Amino acid sequence: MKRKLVSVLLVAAMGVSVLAGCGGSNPVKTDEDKKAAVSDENVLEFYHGYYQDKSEWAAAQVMRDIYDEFAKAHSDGTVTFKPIPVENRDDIVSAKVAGGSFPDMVDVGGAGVPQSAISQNLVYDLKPYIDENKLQDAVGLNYTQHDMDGHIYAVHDQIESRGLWYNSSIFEKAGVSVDALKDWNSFGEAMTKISALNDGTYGYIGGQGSSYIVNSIMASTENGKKMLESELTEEIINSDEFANAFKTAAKLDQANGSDHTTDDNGNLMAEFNTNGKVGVLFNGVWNASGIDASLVDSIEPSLFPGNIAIASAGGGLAVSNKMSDEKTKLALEFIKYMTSKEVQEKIFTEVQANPCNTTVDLNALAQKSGDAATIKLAKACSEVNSADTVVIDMNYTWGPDVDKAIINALMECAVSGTDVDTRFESLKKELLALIG
Amino acid sequence: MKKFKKEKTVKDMPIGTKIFTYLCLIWALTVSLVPLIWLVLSSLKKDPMARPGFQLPDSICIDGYISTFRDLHVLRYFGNSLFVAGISVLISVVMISMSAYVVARMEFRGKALVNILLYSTMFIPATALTYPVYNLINNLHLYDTRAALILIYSCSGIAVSFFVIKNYYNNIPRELEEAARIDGCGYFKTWLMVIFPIARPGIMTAAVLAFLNNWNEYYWASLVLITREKLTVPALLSTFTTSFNTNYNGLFSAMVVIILPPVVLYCIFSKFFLEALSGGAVKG
Amino acid sequence: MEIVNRPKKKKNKLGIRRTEFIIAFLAPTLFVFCVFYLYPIITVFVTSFCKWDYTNITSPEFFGWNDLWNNYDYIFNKYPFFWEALKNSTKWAIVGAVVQIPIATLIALALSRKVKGIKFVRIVYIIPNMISTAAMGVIFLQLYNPSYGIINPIIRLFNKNFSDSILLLKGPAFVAMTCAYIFFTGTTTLMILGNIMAVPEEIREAAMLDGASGLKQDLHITIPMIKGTLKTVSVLAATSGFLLYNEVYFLTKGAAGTYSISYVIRELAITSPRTQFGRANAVAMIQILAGMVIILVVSFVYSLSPKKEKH
Repeated sequence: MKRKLVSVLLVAAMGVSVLAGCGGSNPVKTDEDKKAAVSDENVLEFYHGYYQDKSEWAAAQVMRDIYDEFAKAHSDGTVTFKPIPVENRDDIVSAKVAGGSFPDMVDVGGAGVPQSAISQNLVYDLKPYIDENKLQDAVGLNYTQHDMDGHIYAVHDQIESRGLWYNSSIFEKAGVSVDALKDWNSFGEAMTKISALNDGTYGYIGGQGSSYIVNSIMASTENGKKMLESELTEEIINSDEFANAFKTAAKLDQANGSDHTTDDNGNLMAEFNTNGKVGVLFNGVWNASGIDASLVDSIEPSLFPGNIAIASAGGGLAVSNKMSDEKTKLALEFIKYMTSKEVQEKIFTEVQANPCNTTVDLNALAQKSGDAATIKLAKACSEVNSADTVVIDMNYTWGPDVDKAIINALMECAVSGTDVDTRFESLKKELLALIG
Repeated sequence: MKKFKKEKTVKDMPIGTKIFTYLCLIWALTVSLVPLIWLVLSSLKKDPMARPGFQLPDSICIDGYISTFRDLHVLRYFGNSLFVAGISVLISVVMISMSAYVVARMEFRGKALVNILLYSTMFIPATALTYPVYNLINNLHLYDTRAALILIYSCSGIAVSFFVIKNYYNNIPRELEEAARIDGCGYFKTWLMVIFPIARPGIMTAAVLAFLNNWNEYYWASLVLITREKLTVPALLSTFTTSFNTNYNGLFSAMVVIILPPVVLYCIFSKFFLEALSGGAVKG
Repeated sequence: MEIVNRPKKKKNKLGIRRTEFIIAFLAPTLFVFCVFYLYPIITVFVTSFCKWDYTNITSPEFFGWNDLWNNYDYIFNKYPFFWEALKNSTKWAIVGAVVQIPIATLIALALSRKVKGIKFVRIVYIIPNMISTAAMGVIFLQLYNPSYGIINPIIRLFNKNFSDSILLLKGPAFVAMTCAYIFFTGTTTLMILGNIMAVPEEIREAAMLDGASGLKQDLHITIPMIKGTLKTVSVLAATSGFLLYNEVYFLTKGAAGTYSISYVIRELAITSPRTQFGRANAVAMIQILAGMVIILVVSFVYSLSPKKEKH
C-alpha cells in the first residue's frame, strides 16, 4: 500500500514537472510568435556557440552580454539584432548550406567557414567593408590569414594563439633549465629527465598536443612554413620537411609514452593545470584562465622551440550574402563593434582570449586588472604576437580530416615498440587518399 | 494458490541450476553496478582524476549536484524531455502496433516489401537524413518548436518498435482471433478488444525502448531546438563541456541525475509488463 | 505459442473489408515512411552515383554511365579506412549476435526464476542501458585511461611494466571498445525475459512431470518456445553492432584500426572540409546492403536450428 502511494506521488511529481516545462515556456512561445510575425526581413539572426551556463563557463556569459549590449544599442533601428546560442552550430550551418541558404550571421568559431558555402557564393565578402572603414588593424591577423584571392569571408574576434606552457617547479626539480625549450633535441632530453624523476610526473601531454610539434617543426624552415600555408598536396606529403616533422614528433611521443596521449587536450588538462603532474602542456594562451591558484606561480608560457608561435584566425563571424541592405548594414556594423577596442579589451580581460585587434595594449590592461591569470595571459599573448615566426594551424589549411589522421598516427606511434617509419609510410598513403 | 505453486518450482530446482542461476545473477549485478558505482563515486569527487578509480572521495563534493539543480534548471529539462519523449512514444507505438499487427497476422501482397523498407530505415545514416528533415521542419514552420521534435521522434526509431511488437504478436495464438471473429467481431474490434490488450506487455516493452532512445537523443534535439527553455535532457550534459575544458564533477553528477526519471518510471511501470506476464498471460 | 499459418477462412466474405483494414492500419506507418525516409533513401541511392561535394552542394551531378562507379571506386580502392571499417563493423555485428544474445538469454533465464531480490536485479540490470551511449563513452574513456583508469592497474597485476594505453594498441583497442557496450544487454534481456515469462505455466508444469527441470527445461522447452524473440533480438543486436558510432567517437576516433562504417560516413560527409556527400552516400549504400545481409544471415541461421514441435 505504502509503495503504491510513493509511486503515485512520484508520477504526480513528474506530471507537475512536465507541466512546469510547458507552462514555463508558454510566455516565451507567444513572445516569439510576435517576433516571427514581424517577419524575417527585419530580424538579423546571429548564431553563436556560447550556450554554456554562466556557472559553468563565465566567459560564455561575457560574450552573450557583449552581444546583448549591441542588440540594445540598436534596438531602435528598423532591423532587430537577435543573438541565438546554439549547441549544434556546425550541423545547423551544414544543413542550411545543403539547402542553399546560410544563417544571417554566424560565429563559426574555430570550425572555419564551410568551403561548400563559399563556393556557392552564400557568404558575404567582408574585404571591401574592412578596406573602406580602415579596419585592417582592428581585424588584425584576419586580414592576411583569411584573405582568399582577395576576398575575406570571416573575421574572428579572437585569435587562436598557441604556444606551450611549462611547469617551472617540475623543471627545477628535474634539473632542467628553460633553455631546454630552445630546440627539439634539448626539449626531448628535458622530457626524459622529467620522467626520470619517477614520482608520477611526466614530460608532456601528447596526441592533440603533438600535432603542434609537427606544426611548429614544419614552420621552422621557410619551405615548410609555405607548405603549412597552402593546401595539402602530394608534393608536401612526400616532402622531407613533413617526414622530418612527423618523425621527430613521433619519436618524442614514443619516449613520452602512450599513457600520456589524448586526442583532446581537455581530457587530460587537469593533470597539468590542477595536479601539477606534467612538465609541458601544448595549449593555447587561454589556458591561463584554467591554471589552479596553487600552481599559478610555477606555470609559465613559452613559444615553441625556434621562437615559433601558432596563431590562426580560424573561423569567426561570417555574414550571409543574401540579405537586404539594412540587414547587411547591421551585420557589418556588428563586425566593426566586435573588433572595436572596447569590446576587444573585454574579450581579453574577461573572456581571457587573445583579441584580434592589434592596437589593444595587452600588458597595460593586465597591469591595470592586477589579476594573476590575466597577467599570465598577457605574457603569453605578447610572446605569440612578437614571435619570430607566426604560422597558421595546419588544421585550417590542410583540413580537420587530415589533422585527425596525423594525430591518430602520432598516438599510435606513442605505443612503445611501434616502428615510426612504417607508420609514417602508411600515414602517407592515408593522406594521399584523403586529398584524392 | 498460484504463488505457492511457483515457490515449489524454485525449491525443486536441481542444485546445478541453482548455482548457475546465482552465478548469472552475480554477473548481472557486477556488470551493471561497476559502472554505476564508479559513476556515483566520481560524481562526488571534486576532481575525479586526482583520486581515480574506486577510491572513496577524500571529501564529499556535491557542487555538481548543487549546480545541476540550482543553476541549470534540471526540472525544466526533465519536463521538456518527459513531454516530448512521452508524446512521441505514444504516437509511434500506437502507429506501429497497428501496422505490425497487419504485417504479423495477415497475408497481402507487398508484405515483404514493407518489412524490408522498415528495416532499411535503421541503416540510413543521420548525415543523409539531416538536410531533408531540417527542410521538412522548416517548411512546416515547426522550427524551434517541441512539435518538431515530437514529429522527428515519432518517425525515427520505428523499425525497432516494429520488430519488437511484431514479434510479440507472433506469440499470440491465432485461436484467440478466430474465436473473436466467430463471436462477430470485425477486424478492428478484434484488434482493439482482443489482441491489443494481450499484446500490451510487448507494446510496453517497445515503448520503454523508444522512450529511452528519445530521452537520450541529442543530435536532432540540438538541431531543431535553439531556444534554451525548450531543450531536452542531454543538453544538460553539454553545458559542462566548454571549448577548452570539461568539468567532470559536474558532468558525472548530471549523468547520475538524468537517469533518475527513467529509473523511477521503470520501477513504477515494470510491474505492468513484466510482473503481469508471470505465469503466462498469453494462454494457448 | 507460434502456430503455423493456416488458410484463411471467410476470405471471400470479408475480403473487401479486410483489404480496407490492412490499408488503414498500414497507412500511418507508410505515410511516415514516405515523409521521413523515402526521400533520403532515394537520395542516398541516386547520389552515390553522383559527384556531390563542396563544389556543387545544391546540385549533385550524375557521373554518366561510363564513370558510374566513381564513388565506389574511390571508397573501395583509394579511401584508406573503408575496408578496415567494414571489417570492424561486420565483426561488431557478429559479436552482437554471437556474444550478446547468449549472455542476454542466460541472464534472462536467471531473472525469470523466483529468487529473493530478483526484482531488484531486474531493475538494476537495465540501468546501464538508460545511460546514453555518448555518456557511456565518456565513462569508459575514464575507465580505460592509462594513468587514472581502472584497467591498467588490473593489467599490471599480470604484466608489471605495462604502461601503454590499451585504446592505442591494435587488437586490444577493438576488444576494449567491444567491452564498453557488449555486456550491457539490459534491453535485450528485457525483451527475452518478457517472452520467457509469457510461456504458459502449464507447459512448464508438464515438462516438470516429464522430469525436465531447471536448465534442462530451459534448454528443451523454454528456448525453443522463444525462438522467434531470439531471432528478433539477434537482428537488433547485430544491427546496433554494425552501426556502432559513439564508442568509436568517444574512445578512439578511429585510431589503432578501429574505424566503423557509420564513423566513416560522418568523416566523409561532415569532418572532411570538402563535404564529400556523394562518397559518403556510396558508403551509406553499403551500409544499407549490409543491413539486408544481416537480416538474411540471421534468418538463415535460425531456420537451421532444429524444429521445435517437441512438446
